[in-house]
This record gives sequence, C-alpha cells and structure tokens, in this order.
Amino acid sequence: MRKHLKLYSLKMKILNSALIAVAFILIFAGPAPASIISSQELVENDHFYDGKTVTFQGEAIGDVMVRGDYAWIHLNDDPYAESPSKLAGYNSGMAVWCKADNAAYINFVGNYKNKGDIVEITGVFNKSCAKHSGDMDIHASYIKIIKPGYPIEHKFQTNKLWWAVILGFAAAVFFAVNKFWRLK
Amino acid sequence: MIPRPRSSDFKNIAHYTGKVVFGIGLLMIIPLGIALIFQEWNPALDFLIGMFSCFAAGLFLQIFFYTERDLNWLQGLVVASFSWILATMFGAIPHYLSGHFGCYVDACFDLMSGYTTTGLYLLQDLDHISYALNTWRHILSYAGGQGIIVIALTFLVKGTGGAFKMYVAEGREEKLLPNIIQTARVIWLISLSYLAVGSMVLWGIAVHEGMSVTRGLLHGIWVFMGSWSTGGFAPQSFNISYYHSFPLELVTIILFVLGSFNFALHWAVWTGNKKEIYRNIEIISFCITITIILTITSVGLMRLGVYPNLMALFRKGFYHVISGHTTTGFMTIQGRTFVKQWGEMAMLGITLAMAIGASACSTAGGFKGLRIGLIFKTLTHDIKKILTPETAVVIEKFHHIKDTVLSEKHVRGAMLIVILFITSYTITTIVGVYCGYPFIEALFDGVSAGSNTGLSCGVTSPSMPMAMKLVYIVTMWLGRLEFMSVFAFIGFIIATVRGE
Repeated sequence: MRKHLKLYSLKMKILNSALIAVAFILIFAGPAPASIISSQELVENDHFYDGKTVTFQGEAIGDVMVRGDYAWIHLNDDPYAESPSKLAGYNSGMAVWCKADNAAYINFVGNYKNKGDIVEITGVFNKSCAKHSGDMDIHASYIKIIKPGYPIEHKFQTNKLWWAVILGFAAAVFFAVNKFWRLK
Repeated sequence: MIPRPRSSDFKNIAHYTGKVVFGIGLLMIIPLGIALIFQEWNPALDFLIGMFSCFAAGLFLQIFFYTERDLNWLQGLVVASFSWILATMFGAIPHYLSGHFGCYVDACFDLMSGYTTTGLYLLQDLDHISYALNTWRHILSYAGGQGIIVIALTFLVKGTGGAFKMYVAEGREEKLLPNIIQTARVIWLISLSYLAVGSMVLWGIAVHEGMSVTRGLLHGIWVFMGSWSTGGFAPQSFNISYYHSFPLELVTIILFVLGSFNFALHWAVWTGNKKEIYRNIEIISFCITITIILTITSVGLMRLGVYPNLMALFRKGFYHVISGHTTTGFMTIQGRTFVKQWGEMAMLGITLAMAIGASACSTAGGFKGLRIGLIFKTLTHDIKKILTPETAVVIEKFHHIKDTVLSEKHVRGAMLIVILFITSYTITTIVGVYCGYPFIEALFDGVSAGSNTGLSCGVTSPSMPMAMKLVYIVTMWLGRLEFMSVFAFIGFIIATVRGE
C-alpha cells in the first residue's frame, strides 16, 4: 500500500513538474531570451551582426507605415525612450520591418504630444538589406509591447506668457512711434 | 590710414538691418499659426516671444537710426553680413526656448545652418519636437535658400540702387529683370510655384506610403522645403531613410537638382528659352563633374561590395552623390555608415561633390559650377594659346544666359573665390583634426559645413567641442555669403576701432 502511495506521489510529482514546464513554455512562448543589443552596437559592428538574429528594444516613434501585409516602424533606443525630459544628444534607433498585424498592437508612437510604446522585437539584422535596396533594418519575427506609451503633459509656462505680453507691448509702442513718425 | 566710418554709415547699416530683422519676425507668423492649429501652446508662446523680439528690435533700429539715404557698396555689404548675424540671434529665440538645445550657441548653430541651407544640426531629440518648431526649421531653409535679404527686398525695401547692393552682397549677381525688387519677386514666384506642386506630389507619396493625411501633408511641405532649398533639414532623425520610399527619393532628387539650378536659368526656361538647359556652362559643368564623382563613388562602393544590387547602389550611392553635389545633405543612410561601410574612396568622392557644389545664384553652396567651368575654360584657352602661332589671337567664350568672352576679370574672380573656399575647407578640417577626429571624418564634415551641404559622418553633434561649433558657424556664414561681404563687415569693424 505504502509502495503504491509512494509510486503514486512520485508519478504525481513528475506529472506536476511536467505540467508546470508545459505551462512555463506556453506562457513564455517565443524566442529564447537573448541580450538586448543597442542600435549603436549594431551600427558600429554591422559586419558582425549582419544576417544574425538580434533582440532590440526601443520607443516606437513617428508613424506606423503599413505597406500591404507588412509595415515599417522605427524604434529609438536613445535615453529619451527612458526619460523624455532630459537632453541627452541625438536620437538613435533602428528601422524595423514587421507584419502589419503585429505593428497594429502599437497604440502610441512617440512625438511632441505622446511618449511612444516601448517595443521589443527579435529578428534578422541587415546592414544593407537586399530586399529594401540597401536599408539598414531588422526584419522582425517577434514583437512584444514592453511598456505602453502615454500622452505627454506639457505644463503651460506662465512665465513665457508674461514675457510675450511685455515684448508684445514693447513692439506695439515701437510700431505706434514708427507710424506717428512717418505721418509727421 | 583707414578712414573711420561716419555716423551716417552706422545709421544706414542699422536702419536696413532693422528691416531684415523685422522680416524674420514676419516669418515667425507661419510656425505660430501651426502651433495654434495643433494646440501646441508652449511652442506658440516661444514663437510669440521670438516674433515680438524681432518686431521690437527691428522697429527700434528703424526708428532710432532713421534715414532716407541710399546705401553705398560698403554699407550694402555690411548690411547683408550683419543682418545674417542678427537674424541668427533673434531667430534662435524660439529654438532655444523649446528646450531642445544644450546652450544658446547650439540654437544659433541650427539657425545659421538653416539660413545658409546647410542642414547640419545640434538640436536634440528631434523625434519629439513640436510641429511648430519643425515648421520653423524648414522655413529657415526655404527662406535662406532664396536669401533673407531677398525677403526684405520683396516686402520691406524700396527699389533703389542700395537694394541692388544688398542683393549682390548676399552672394548673388544675376538680375532676372531690370528692377532688383522685381527680380526678388520673380525668385519668390519661382520658389512658391515649385512649393505648390512639389508639396502636393510629396504629400501624395507620403500618404500612399502609409502616413496619415495630416502628417503626410506636413511632411510633404517640410521635405519639399528641405529639397528645393538644398537645405537638408528633415523632420525625423532617420532623415530621408525614414520613409523607405523609392518614389519619394526620386522626387526629392528632382527637386534638389532643380533647386540647385541658377534662378536666371529657371527664368530663362520659364520665359521660353528652353535651349539654355543644355547650353549653359553651369549645366555642362554639373553633368561632367557629377559623372566623374559618380564613377569614383561607385568604384569605391563596388570594390568593397557595400550594396547587394544595383538598385541599392542607386538609392544609396547615387542619391548621396547628387545630395552632396547639389549641397542638399539629405541622407538615406545613417551617418556612421559612411565611416563603417563606405570606405575612404567613396567618402572622398562625396567630399569632392560637396566641395564643388552646384550653381551660382541658386539655393546651393560650394565652389559653384560656373567657376569650375570658367577655370576649365581658362585651362583649355591656355593650351590653345600654346598650340597656336604667337601672332594668333585666341578667344574663348562661355555661355551663361548669353555668350560672353572669357576675360581676365572672370578668371580672377572665379579663382579667388575657389581659393577662399579651399582655405575655408582646410581650416575646418585642421580644427577637426586638432579636436581629435580622424582626418577623413574631419574633412568630410568640415567640407560639408563650408559648402553648406549638411551631410555628416558623425563628427557634428551636440557634444562636439565649442571651438568647432563656432568655427562651423563662421564657415557656414562665409560660404553662403561667399566671403566678400563678411570681409567687408570685418573691415568695417576694424575701421571703427582703429580708423582715423
């Protein structure tokens, strides 16, 4: 009886472990986890990464340009993707060619009024893509929204309003003087 | 002994400079309107501050230095160069207030780059700027392409001899019509006609390529302004590669080639003289040099096997040769790709293209095709003289709107400006190398700044040394005004300080 119970519990343990493993695989379906490569790393070592599968992460900016079943998106992995308010040099990023269905998950693209979605993609990096006339791009096979974007709140700068009023007044005075002068 | 300038000199210069500054304020109405339409309230305030500053300063100069005297040559030259400085400083106000610049010098750098249709920029986080600021950047290029003095002449200055002196001081010589004010208006007529057609075409392409109608329209107008003015500012950090569109690239090539042609040539064709297209010395010179440079660049790229097929070679190699030669500065690759993939031979090809530049009295910079043509004609003239008997009289002619006999005056003028450009390129390169950049990269960006092109291999950046930023600002200014009016301005300052 005990033997049976032991055997039963062992079988249950194996079954549980198997179920957990299956569940784990199902939850984290997709490519094997890889270290995220920066656009700077890709540009500076383009020969090394050419044709290799890479994982890249950045803020979707500008437009999602749908071309039939596919779409172009642009992901910036510069410091502005993390903190939009601090100046930290130029933008830098990568052009990504992906399925239009996948690109449709992007709700926010970065611009003056919006912080774009942070998107993670995995795909093949091309230093001079033969399909896209020499473009440097990544053909994504997998897309994941890491962090949703949001509208940026620009606080109205009252101090600027006062400056505008003062300078407007000065300009009006000079304008009146100029008009009077000419009439004279 | 240098005669010290009189108070009437200062009065005249200040009065007419005031008119130009006022004109810059008028230009700001356009981005202000865009800010209001798209409810960008803080940028609207930036432009209100900038606009009122221009109006106040411009009117102040016109009132307190009131004069009805006409300008003499020296005053005309000084007005042109001084106006560009003040227009840069006042125009930079909305730029600086936007919060996208590390310091005020960086903002002035972008303004000078815009007015001179260079296209290098130090603005940070371009992909998050407002529509209003993006509009302002492109208006700078568009207005600068025609010339900010031309704007003042069109709207604010009476048609006098002094007006012509200001016009010439901005690096132009051709009078399309007998009256200089009419000439300025014709330049605007040509530019605005192309703006209407070109923007619509680009708008259609942008929408077809997946952009929304509104953004497509804005991008269509912005890209047109960057193309036609051979400016090179683009609305996104990916520059023209952002669009991934062959039709758009093709249209921009057509536009910046047209923009790089002499306004006198445009006017000749518009008024029915179509033969001018293939007879003009600048067009012939442009075709020859472009063929040579295209060969050099293509050999360089093919030797390294940079691009997988001919289409890629065309869209990357040919595009940048034309972009460089017309001094536009649009790019379909990332800046560092020049260094990492292209190799030194292809980079030298593009550098040569930028150095030569396009046509005189156009929106472009560089030596100009006319001067290259004249130097080549001089060379053939001298060879002919050697080969013919000593008693024979050898006459060399060139065709630029009309047939002209090549004279010593033409050659000396062309050679002088070319030598000054070479000096300018040399100085920017030396400064770059001194600041620690590799020679080829320092040369590439240095020539790009001096020829008002705007292609960059990564040297130009907000983190570059302040000395380089200042040298580039001066170089862009010198290149656009073609030296003489800037030298006159420096001479005027020296005379003020040390004159008797």
